[in-house]
Amino acid sequence: MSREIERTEPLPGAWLPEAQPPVGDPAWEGPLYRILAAAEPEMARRAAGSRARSVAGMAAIPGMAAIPEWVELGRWWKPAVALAAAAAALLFAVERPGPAAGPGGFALSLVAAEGDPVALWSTLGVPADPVLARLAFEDHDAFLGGGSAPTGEGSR
Amino acid sequence: MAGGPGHRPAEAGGEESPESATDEALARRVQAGDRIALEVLVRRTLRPVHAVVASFMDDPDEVEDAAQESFLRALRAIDSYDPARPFAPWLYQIARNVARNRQAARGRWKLVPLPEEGMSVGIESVGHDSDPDPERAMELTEVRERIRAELHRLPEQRRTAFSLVDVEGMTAAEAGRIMGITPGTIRSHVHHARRVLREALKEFRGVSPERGRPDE
Repeated sequence: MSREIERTEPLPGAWLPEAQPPVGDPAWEGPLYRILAAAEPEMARRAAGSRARSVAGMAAIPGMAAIPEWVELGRWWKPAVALAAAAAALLFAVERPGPAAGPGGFALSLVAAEGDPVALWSTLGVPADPVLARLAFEDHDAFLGGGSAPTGEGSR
Repeated sequence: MAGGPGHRPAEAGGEESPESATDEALARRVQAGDRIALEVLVRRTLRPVHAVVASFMDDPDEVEDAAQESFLRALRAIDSYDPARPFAPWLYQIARNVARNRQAARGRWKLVPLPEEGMSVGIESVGHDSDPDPERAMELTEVRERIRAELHRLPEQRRTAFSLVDVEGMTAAEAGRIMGITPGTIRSHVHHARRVLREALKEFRGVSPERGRPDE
């Protein structure tokens, strides 16, 4: 049968229906773009669904729920790096022993207290009244000389 | 469809360019809403789909409508397509169903009206149309009409295989990839179709079924 098939001559082309235009023929451009235009609503729906699935899929991964926020933060990487570098430099400077340090750990406490007199006294284990703490802090000589604690007695 | 000239072999590696991607990879990207993948896939499969649909109907406008409907149906159903399987036969089945449904809706094959001068519409008009012998030209027209009628009487797969190979000029392998059958089966279909068509032309004076050419 195979040989018989191979022997069968094709019919003359003039007898047959007209063939489709060849691939690459400009005649295909019209039908192509009509199909793409008709497909656009479905493609838009699919693209939107795909984006939503992508975000939901990442959120579903354990420990990856915050990825969209991190992706957003990625846009701020330059300020973040600058801030981190400044923080590291500050820590490095603070941890080095200063030549004029007063009581032990005073420089570090000063930084940690961020200028708040009450917090500063607290780091030294002294519960301070807010007003008196500020007065005592301003009375620098008395403080460094081991003056009375700003507890409200004898500081006014 | 993969059997078309635009079919590309699979490439190793990650994301490939749409032009070099396989039909299956493109279909997977279309599932995710990739418009470029859709355009490449449609461009690649447009001619085969038209060819398949044209084996069911004659009117070029109707062929284009049916082809467009085939693509839109395929797009709507693309989630049901398994990229592990060949894309071309899946698309072929859709185009075939669309064409059959349209055929059933019409209730009959559309007969192409003949213009007043007797030449059929949509028939290849190569060479013999300018034949100075009016009797011979008339006979050629009759031969064409007979072939069209006989084609529509052929079993569906045989008709499509014949159209893809003998009318559209595809190889048996290309037609087989589109239809999802082996090249040997395609050749068998084409062989039987040719035999039936030649047999139907025996009655025509001046046409030799054995040689397949009008007698000189």
